[in-house]
Amino acid sequence: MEITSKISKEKYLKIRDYDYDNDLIEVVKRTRKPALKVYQPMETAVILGRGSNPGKEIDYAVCDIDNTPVYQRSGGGCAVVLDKGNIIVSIVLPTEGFSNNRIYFDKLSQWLIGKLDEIGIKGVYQDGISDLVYNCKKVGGSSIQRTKDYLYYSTTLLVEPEVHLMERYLPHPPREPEYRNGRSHSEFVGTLPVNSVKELAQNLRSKLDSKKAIEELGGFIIINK
Amino acid sequence: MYEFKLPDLGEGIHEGEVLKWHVKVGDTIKEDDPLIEVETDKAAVTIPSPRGGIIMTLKGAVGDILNVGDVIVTIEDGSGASVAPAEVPTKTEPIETPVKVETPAPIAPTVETLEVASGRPVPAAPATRRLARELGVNINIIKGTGPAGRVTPEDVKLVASGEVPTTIEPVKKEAATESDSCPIAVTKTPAMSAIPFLDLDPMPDFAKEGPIEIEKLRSIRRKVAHKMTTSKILIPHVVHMDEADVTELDKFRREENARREGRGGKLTLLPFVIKAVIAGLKEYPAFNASIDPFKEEIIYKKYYNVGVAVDSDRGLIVPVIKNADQKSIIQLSDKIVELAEGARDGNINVADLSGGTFTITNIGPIGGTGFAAAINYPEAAILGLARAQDKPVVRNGEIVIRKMLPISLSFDHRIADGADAARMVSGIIKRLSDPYTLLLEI
Repeated sequence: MEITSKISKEKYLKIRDYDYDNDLIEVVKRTRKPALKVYQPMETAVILGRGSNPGKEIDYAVCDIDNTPVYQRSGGGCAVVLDKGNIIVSIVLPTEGFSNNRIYFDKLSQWLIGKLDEIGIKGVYQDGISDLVYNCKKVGGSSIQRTKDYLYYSTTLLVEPEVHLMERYLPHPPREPEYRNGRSHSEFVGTLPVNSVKELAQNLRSKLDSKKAIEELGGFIIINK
Repeated sequence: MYEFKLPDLGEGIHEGEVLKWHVKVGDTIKEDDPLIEVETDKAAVTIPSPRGGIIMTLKGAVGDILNVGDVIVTIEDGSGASVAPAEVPTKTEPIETPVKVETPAPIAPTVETLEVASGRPVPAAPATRRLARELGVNINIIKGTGPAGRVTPEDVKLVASGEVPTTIEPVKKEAATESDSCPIAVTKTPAMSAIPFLDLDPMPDFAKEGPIEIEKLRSIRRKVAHKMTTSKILIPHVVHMDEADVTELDKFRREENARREGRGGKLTLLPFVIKAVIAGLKEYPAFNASIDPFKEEIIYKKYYNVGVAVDSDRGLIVPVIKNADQKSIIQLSDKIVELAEGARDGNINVADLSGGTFTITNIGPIGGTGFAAAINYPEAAILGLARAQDKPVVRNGEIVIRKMLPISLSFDHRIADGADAARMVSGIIKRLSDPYTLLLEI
């Protein structure tokens, strides 16, 4: 049934689907209740956005030489590098329709900023469409996938990112938020003020792995007429 | 026939980019089958079909921008005449905005510096921050009237209009953390220059004169721009030019290529030039040095990493041959080919693009009788090669035809003087003119 895609499977045979959150999506489809998880990537990988053009957004040949896997996520946005220095927070909401994505970006980003504040990480704010920013530097990026029955939001928090790999794998992105001001990856990307990835993961899990958190997320769902 | 229009994607979004079609003309689909994926901002949205039937037409290819309200699919659903849907099936109720914007507050926002002094950003939606930037308002100094002190668009507009107390103290730069004070990589607005007579005037409106196309300075082009500006502003360049008689060397090279027919790549003049340059660098180490302007020191490098400028589709790239002095002519030749191919294919390691001590740039294959190259900062010199060609020259009182290679040495006058450059270039010419001497030195 599919006609085409920017990604030519013939040319980029090794690009795989990013399916690490599919379990979450299945749970939400089944239960019609919000679900979330917090996890640390176990390998360095380049992740394309759903609409990314790999020929422009990544240096595929270098990824290939380094044997760095390339995935494509189902959410939008530009290509990113994931590594063990990141924490991923993925949230799936049982929504209807496909509008209000900006609203969801804002609600979920602000909610997460609030949770970071509660665990002692102060001073993070939202800029661009959905970036989390600290001291003018990007410390978190997110994307949304929307289908007729769910909204999948995933954000990557930067704690100890391997910024040199961003310079190595990712040319300057084709689109950028205004506050980036043309800065290179190393100038633009910052880190959250925490001691370690492990510490952030533990603190976030203890804060988010609760009935209260799920209830709060449920309150964000916009009901159609 | 049912005409399906691109539905409202929300929040003032008027268009979306086609990511993928899930159907093609002639397909039979059921209601709710996925039709199309579109991207708006960072959200990828899969839109299902509101009707079952046969796909008759599709509008837009992958990568195209579709406008909300465009008919993107027609479906033969047995309903007869063309019918436009009365309403988008999944239109949602505008229940709430992301950041609840209160009705105009009974009190005006107040301006204070306390929040800034604490180093904490004020709460505000991205759209409000954007508005503040557009209006030239420092959002950090506003105490918002929204929930929990959130700064609202109305607050920003009031501050911009001057309708609030203007007891704003200068914001301490180091305390500001908001995006309106984020650093920039490229000066986007005219800046005052500290250099006398240097004016950084805004660009004229070229579009007034004729059609233009604007391309963002990115990737390698941007890096080259930074590097060359730094080089030309920091380094007082001087260029010494001369010609090398490479008749014998070219003859030797051609004979060697004929002898090596079928055994690897062809020898060019470049590996010989590298050898001649390294011999010169050993005699005149200033050209293999760098100057530290902060410490006012000259750093003499005791290793010889020679960069070779390569013209690629992505722009100028300078792969570096590490420890070039320890390689034979053949090894240098092979390495040049390997690095140049890698640079052109975008298949080169970062390590091979850094650590150079001296650069050679060769425009000979393209043409030209000579040029003044810009030094590859923070190196101290660069050798430019133009096209070697047969020219009439005087030898022993007679005009003879010799193959002459134009060479130019651009050097940092802080480190070396013109006489040093002349001696360095003379040494290179001597070695290139007499390949046997050159080979004996290897």
